[in-house]
Amino acid sequence: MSDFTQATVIIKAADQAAAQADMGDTVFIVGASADGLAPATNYVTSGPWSNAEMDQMANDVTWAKKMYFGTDWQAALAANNLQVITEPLV
Amino acid sequence: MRRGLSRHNNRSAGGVAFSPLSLFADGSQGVWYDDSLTSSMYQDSAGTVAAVLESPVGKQLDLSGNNNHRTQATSANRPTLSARYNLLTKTEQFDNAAWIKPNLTITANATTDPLGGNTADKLAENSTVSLEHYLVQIQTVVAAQHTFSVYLKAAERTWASVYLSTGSINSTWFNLAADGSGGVGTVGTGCTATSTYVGNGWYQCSVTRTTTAAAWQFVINPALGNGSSVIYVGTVGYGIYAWGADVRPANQATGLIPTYQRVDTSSVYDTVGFPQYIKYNGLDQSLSTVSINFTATAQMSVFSGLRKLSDAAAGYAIELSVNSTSNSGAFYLSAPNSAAANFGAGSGGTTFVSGASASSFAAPTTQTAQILANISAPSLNLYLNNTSVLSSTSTQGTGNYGNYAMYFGRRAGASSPFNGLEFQTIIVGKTLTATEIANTETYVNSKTKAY
Repeated sequence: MSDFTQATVIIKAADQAAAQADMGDTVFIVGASADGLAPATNYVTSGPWSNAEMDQMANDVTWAKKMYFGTDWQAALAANNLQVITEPLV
Repeated sequence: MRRGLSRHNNRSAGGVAFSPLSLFADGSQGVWYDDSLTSSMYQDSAGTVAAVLESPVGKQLDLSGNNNHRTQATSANRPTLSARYNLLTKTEQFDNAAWIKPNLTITANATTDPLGGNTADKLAENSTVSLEHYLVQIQTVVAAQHTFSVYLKAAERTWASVYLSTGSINSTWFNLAADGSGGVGTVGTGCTATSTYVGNGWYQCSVTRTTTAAAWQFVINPALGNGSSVIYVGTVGYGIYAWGADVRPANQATGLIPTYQRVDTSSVYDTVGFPQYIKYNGLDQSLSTVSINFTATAQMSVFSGLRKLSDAAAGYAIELSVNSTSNSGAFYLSAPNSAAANFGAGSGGTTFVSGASASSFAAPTTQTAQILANISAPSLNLYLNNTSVLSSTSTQGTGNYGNYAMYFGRRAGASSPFNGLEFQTIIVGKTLTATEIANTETYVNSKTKAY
């Protein structure tokens, strides 16, 4: 049995520290905003979350989040009127 | 670890078996990641759960013998192993709920299919009211040219209509004459079409059209004749036979890979002939190595088979160190290099040189990318599909390449994500001979099918 679920999780920027305290500081590092420009109003992570992580986010965390199942993070962001904040290569 | 080597032998131009492993036989530092070798990949970063199609990749073994394995410790940041090309599901089961079939009755396994099995279905009109009798599957696609193909054979109806649509009917008609003399009839607005007779009355009928990023309908109709409206008074039991439907980006339907992929579910599909790849989602997925010691060399040869899926923002496919621009002795391969239809490369010792191809490589596009770089006799050359697209002899300063971690899919595993597929990557810390370059390029393309 596979131990992962593909999902996109979006949180508020104000909850980043709390979310990273629970889930690790290598997630929720991609910022998003309505116009795709800084500052970030939200942070997003999309990918194969472990079942334990999904259980934790569903049942134990206190910060608000939106969870969209599947791999289509673009649709998840669009549904929230958000764009990824991108940067040029330097 | 050197495993599965028998699978990696290709014939070089001279007819001698070539393995990328030979590039490392002299002890050269580097990496070789073969995304076609499932047994070299694991779902977890510890390497305990074997990877399977559509699973995450948490660890991939380096086959160069240098043990420069690459990993991703964070579950949600792991890319996906796949060999999926056909966007449809249940591609030989038109009676399945994945297909909607208004005013048609589907008889499963009604006749001999093009492969000689018995999995071809009959699409028969079931109403005598003037209606469209149609079979449709809806899938969300990106903005690109897409090709919709299906094998069709005449039954009572000897014409068929095929179209891609977001709502309105836009038929392309196909003559299904049993003797093989049929072909394409009137072509829908904005479409191109082909019909290939494959024997026993079967034609592979294909329609290509530019789609928007949206949910599109992929539709098949029995038809009364060329150009005849697909809304007509049906005859119960009259219809056509169908088998093997396929939708994919048009530039993956050119024949370099099989033009039909049987798909049952999103994780169960045919793989023979379809290059396997690791997909980076262009948001937050990446792999990285521990530090690789390139301090003994000022030369670097990089080969990577890639499919770029987006030009929306710059993305690092490969980068040595957390920031090759600011760290001496580093390099990168970008796809794209900016928000443009390009690829890019950079390399440097104490001075960094970088550049981009012309903006004529719009996503989605599959390319074998080749970087040949030299710090001491300064040169930076980028080739796409074995054609030079960037060449510089500007000084790269002094020194050798460094002792850094290598990142795949994002800068430092944190920013500028690559949105695309990787089929194969070979990186060697030395200058290769012309024969070695040609053999490696041929090998990488054999795993990529870029050209």
